[in-house]
Formats: sequence, structure tokens, C-alpha cells
Amino acid sequence: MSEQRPSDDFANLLISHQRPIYAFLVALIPDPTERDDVYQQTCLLLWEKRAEYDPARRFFPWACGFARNKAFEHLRRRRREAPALSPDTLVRIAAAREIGEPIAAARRMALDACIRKLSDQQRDLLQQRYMARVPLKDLADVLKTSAAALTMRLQRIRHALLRCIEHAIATAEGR
Amino acid sequence: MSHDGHSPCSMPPVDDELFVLIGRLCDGVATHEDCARLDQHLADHTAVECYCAVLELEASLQWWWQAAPAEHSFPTLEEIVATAAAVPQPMPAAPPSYTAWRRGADWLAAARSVAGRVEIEPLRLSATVLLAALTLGLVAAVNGGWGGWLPWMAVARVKESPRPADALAAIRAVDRVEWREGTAARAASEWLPGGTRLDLVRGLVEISYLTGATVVLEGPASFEISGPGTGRLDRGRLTATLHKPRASFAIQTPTAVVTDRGTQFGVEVNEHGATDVRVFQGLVELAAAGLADGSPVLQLAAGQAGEVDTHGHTALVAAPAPKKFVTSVAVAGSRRRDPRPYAWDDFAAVTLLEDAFIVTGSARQAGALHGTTPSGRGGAESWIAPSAGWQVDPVAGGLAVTAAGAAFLPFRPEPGFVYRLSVELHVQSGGSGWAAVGFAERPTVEAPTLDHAWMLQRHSTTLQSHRSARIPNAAFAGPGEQGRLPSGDVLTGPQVRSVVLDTTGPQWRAFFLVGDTLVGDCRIDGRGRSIRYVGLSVFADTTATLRNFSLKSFRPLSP
Repeated sequence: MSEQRPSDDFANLLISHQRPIYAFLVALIPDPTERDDVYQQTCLLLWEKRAEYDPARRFFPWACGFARNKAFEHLRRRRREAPALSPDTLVRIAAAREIGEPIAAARRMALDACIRKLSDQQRDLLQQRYMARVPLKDLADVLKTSAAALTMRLQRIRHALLRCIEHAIATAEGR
Repeated sequence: MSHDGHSPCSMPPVDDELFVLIGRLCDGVATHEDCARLDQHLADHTAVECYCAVLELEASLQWWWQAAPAEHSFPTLEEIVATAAAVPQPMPAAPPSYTAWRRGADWLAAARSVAGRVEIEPLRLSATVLLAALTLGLVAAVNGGWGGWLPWMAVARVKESPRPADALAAIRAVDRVEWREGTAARAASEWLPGGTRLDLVRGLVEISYLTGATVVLEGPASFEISGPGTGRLDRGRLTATLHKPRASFAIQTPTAVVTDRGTQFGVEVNEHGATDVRVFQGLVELAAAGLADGSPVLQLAAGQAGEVDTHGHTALVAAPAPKKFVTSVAVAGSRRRDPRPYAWDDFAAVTLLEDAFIVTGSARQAGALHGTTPSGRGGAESWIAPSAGWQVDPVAGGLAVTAAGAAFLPFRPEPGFVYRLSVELHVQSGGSGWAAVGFAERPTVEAPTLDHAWMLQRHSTTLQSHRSARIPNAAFAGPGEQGRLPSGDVLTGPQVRSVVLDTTGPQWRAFFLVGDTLVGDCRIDGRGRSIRYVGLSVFADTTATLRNFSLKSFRPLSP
């Protein structure tokens, strides 16, 4: 077996934390395209800083520090152009997300099961919304409905999924 | 406590203000007022947990759908590596594309797998990951030990495949193109995911977006497929055309945003980034990039020109210097002239309505057509049809019709387009009875005739005793049976019949086809502008099966 190099260890850490880091950014940057940009910048930055990482420390909080800085840097620029949450709120959200590593495997499995419980129409709508990444207003045009009506349909689906996930988790934990 | 150590979010009702505001933020429709209100809510820790729960769900849905098995399969990593190894290619010098980096750690995983330092798994690649694999050069650069670039040959494996899930456009045609050194050479019919850059030194490339726009790029130029209905032109010249009514398309440049409102326009970006816009048809909005509050947004009509200079100053150009914008690669002489009397390009056409008449779960159970939505495109529209005798066959598929009447879907034609309405008719019994397809002004489900530009096919063309029944298959300008066209069409059996409505000129025209064979054409008088439906109809005691109904639109390019 070939010798494992430090950069390989770091790469393994980065790969295994990709989803939690992305999820951390999710709470700060709702727009998926902007979020992807920041995520990409964060990954590059983490790679550049790999020599500074102390393996004795937990990886996720260390990585979150860089992700948070990148996100705030982006949001400061964006706030001048588009509606966004206040810096105070974002700090609170970031602090809440750094406590733990969100999106546990159990929730992901629950989501898979819950999505399969949706009606065909609901799944079709989610597919159109998330697979093609079409802006909501464009999708509303395609579906010949209003953005407000489409938002409400999506709200109902999100609500149903969240309730389903919570129910599945509670059942699994014997609550 | 919840499972992950957070304080629990007790999910509020669906109409709770907090939940609604978070949803609006997720959907990109939140206003400044919404954000301010959300700030107030999020002062509470439990509200923060709810916020995070919804946003986590949002991200999970994106992951779920982008990781979900695509409709079509893609090459495995082993196949790509094998292909790459077989045909050495030059190393691209340009940085990876934006989209290729969208999933930062995916590139890392893909890179390591391809380089063979970890065991290759039989991973079915999404197109996004495939693109990520193409960025190996940068990974290799930062790692220094994972081998070289994955040759661009990998792209060639994809181009003949069915449409990848993340494709936003395709190259329709290329003409005498020289690609910039070190960048990917593209070929006609190649699918283009978001973030694809096209850098050409010279020549023409015609790109068709799935959302209904066509872009003709003229080298030297640098262009990026930046979204489903957007493109970024950093340098060079292009002509954009929308083929879909009421759609929108935008071109971003270093200094401007040009928003198309259903039209045709040209954009040129010079070496300093200044933007010049010419409108050939319809209406365009021109705004400086990074528009500050109060900056003017110019509305340009056909024949007008505008510019945005390098300082972001927007101005109408009173007497624009003449410039030649290429509107089609075909115009440049690379393809033979289309012999049809109307312009049509199925590759560039956009499907507005599509129904295979199949059962699609809860959206359509087996049974009456009336009130159901099309199984393909046009899912927001419902069929208006007789309550009985028009049934979707759950086993064989198709619309089985056993009672006279007509079925309609809403549709309103707009000037400047060519529409092609098609359906496969199989008239199974009924002697001289018939089934038909065409356009209509009113949804008269009990009356089998249509109002405008329609054609019928009989079960049998054997002469009958009744005079009107002696007429073989026929087409009509309408309304009703008015304006019958002379036609030698006597075909029976399953046939695809199409009515093409051409609204590009001051005089609208209709063309009638069996398969691809033109069997008649006529002018449509001013009443054609009152068309509000597309329809199917069946007459008398006929039984028929109808399949593969579709309505497509295409906007011809200016000569």
C-alpha cells in the first residue's frame, strides 16, 4: 500500500465534510448559484490553507470559519444590490450552524423516503424547480401561473416534507 | 433536543409569517421589507432553528435532484479514463469553467478517482460531475501529484448521448470556426451545460437554448452559457432571437444587461467592454451592469440602437453606424436552403404543448380526458373535452374516442412565429367519418368542426352516396367547413397530420401536412387573430385513436 501523504489526509477530510460545509453556507446564502460560487471559493481557500490545519482540532468548526468569512464577504457586496438579511442576523445564524454538523444521515434518508411519498405532480414541480435551476419567475411563466401562486405551492410541499422528516426522525428515535 | 443537538424547531403552520418569509427568500422573491421582517423573527433562537431547517431542506432538495438518476445514463469514470487514455489531446491552458467548479469537493473526489490514487468505483456520473472531472488540471496543479489533465476528449463521449440533465443549450451549427488555442473545441449537436464557455477566434456558432432562444455568435468572441435563459458575452458580437412567445432572454456583458422581451437583437462588446445593442424586431431593455437605483433603463424598439460605455453610462444612439449582424449560420452559406414554403427548424423549435395521452399518476388517471393536464409540456393547462367517449387508454396509451365531439387546450398565437400543431390520427371505423386537428376560436365540445385552419382524415375514402361524404381527406381555412382546399390526399391508416400556422407576415398563412408532405396551404383572414384554442375533433359514428399530440413554435430569423 502506498504511503498516505498529509495532503491526502486533508483531501479526505475535505471530501467527507463537503456536504456539512455546503449546508453551513445554505443557511447563510439562500440563492443556490451565489452559494455555489462561495462554496467553490471556500473549497479553494481551504485547500490553500491546508498547511495551517492542526489535525488535533475538529475540522468542521475550522472550515466553517473560512466559509463564514467568505459568505460574509459575498453578502456585504450583495447587500447593496438585492434584499438580504441583516449582518446581525447572519452572525446569529452562523453561530447556530457552527455548533453542530447539520443534515445528518438520518435526515437525508428520511428526505428520500418523504420525497417518494409526494404526488407525481408535486415531484414534477420540485424537479422543475431544482433540477434545472430555473428562476422561480421563469418557471411561473413556463407553467403559466403567477410567481405568488407557485411560491405557495412550493411552500406547501416544503411544509409537507419537513413534517414528514420530523415524523420519521421522531419515529426512529422512539419519541 | 433534536437528534443533532439543536433546540427543536416546532414546525409552524404553512401560512405562518415566518415560514412564508423563509419560503420567499428561498424562492428568490423576497423584498427588502420581507428581509427586514425576517430579521425581526430571527432574533428568536427557535426561529433561527426553523430557518435553518427550511434552508437545509432546500439544499437537500437540490442535492437530491442533482444526484438523482438522470433520465439517460452517462459514461462511467472508467469509460472516460479509457477514452482519454486512448486519444491523447493537448492540455487546455484556460482555467476551468464556472460550472465545473460548482460542486467544489466533487471535483476533488472525481479527480482522485480518475488519477487512480483511490479505487475507481462504478459511479454513474451526472453531467455536472463529468464536467468537474474535466477540471482536473487545476486539481493537479494544486496537488502536484495526481497526474495530468483529463483530456478534453471526454467531451466527445457526451456529445452523442441523449440530453444530460444539466444541459441548458446545444450547438446547432458551426461554420468555419477556429477555437481559441487551449480552449475546448465544440461540435454541432453538442450539449452545453450551464457555465460552458465558448471562445472563438473566427467563424460562426449557432446555439439553441432549451428555453427557446437562439444565439448566433460571431468570432472573435467569448461567450458563456450562464443560465437557462441567460448568456454572458465578454467580447465579440452576437445576434439573439427568441422563438417562444412571452418568454424572456437576457445577455450580460461587462458593462450592460440586455433583456429581450420576445424579439431579435444584436449585441457587440468591444475590447474595452463597452456594449452596443441593435434591435431588429420587438422590444429590448438595456441597463448598465450593476445598476444603481435611479439609473435609466433604456427601452429600445425595432430599428433603435443603444450603448453602455465603460463608465456605465447608458445612451440611445441617434444615428448608429451600419453594422452587419449575422442572424443565422445558414445565412452564412454553410447549409442548403430549406425548400419548404415556411421557415421551420425542429432543432430550434420550442414545444409549447405535448400530450402522449398516457396515464401519469395522480395527474391523469385512466378515464375521461376532460379536466386532465397534458402528460408532457403544458402541464398548467387542462383539456376541455366531452365528458364521455374521450378516454385515455391506460394499457396501450393513446386517446380512444368513441363519441362525436371536440377537445381543446388554450392557445393564443402571436405575430412573428410559426406554429406546428401535430397529432397521429388512427381512424378505426366509421366509413366516411373522420377525425381532425386544427385551431379554434371557441371550445365547442359538442360540435366536431373547428374554427380555423384545420384538417380531417376519414376512415375510408370510398365514395359514399351523400355528396359531402364523397370528399376525401380535407383541409379547411375555416371557420367550420368554409374554405375547403383542393387536395389529393386520400391516405388512410395511422397518419401524423400537422397544421402549420405562419404568423410571420402581415397575411397569416396555414399549411397542411401528412407526415412531412405538404398537401395544401391557404391564407388566413383577419379572424385568425381570434384563435384561442388548439383542438381535436371526431365526427359522427367514427371511432379513433389519437396519439402524440404536440404544438411547437419557432421564430424564423430575419434574412
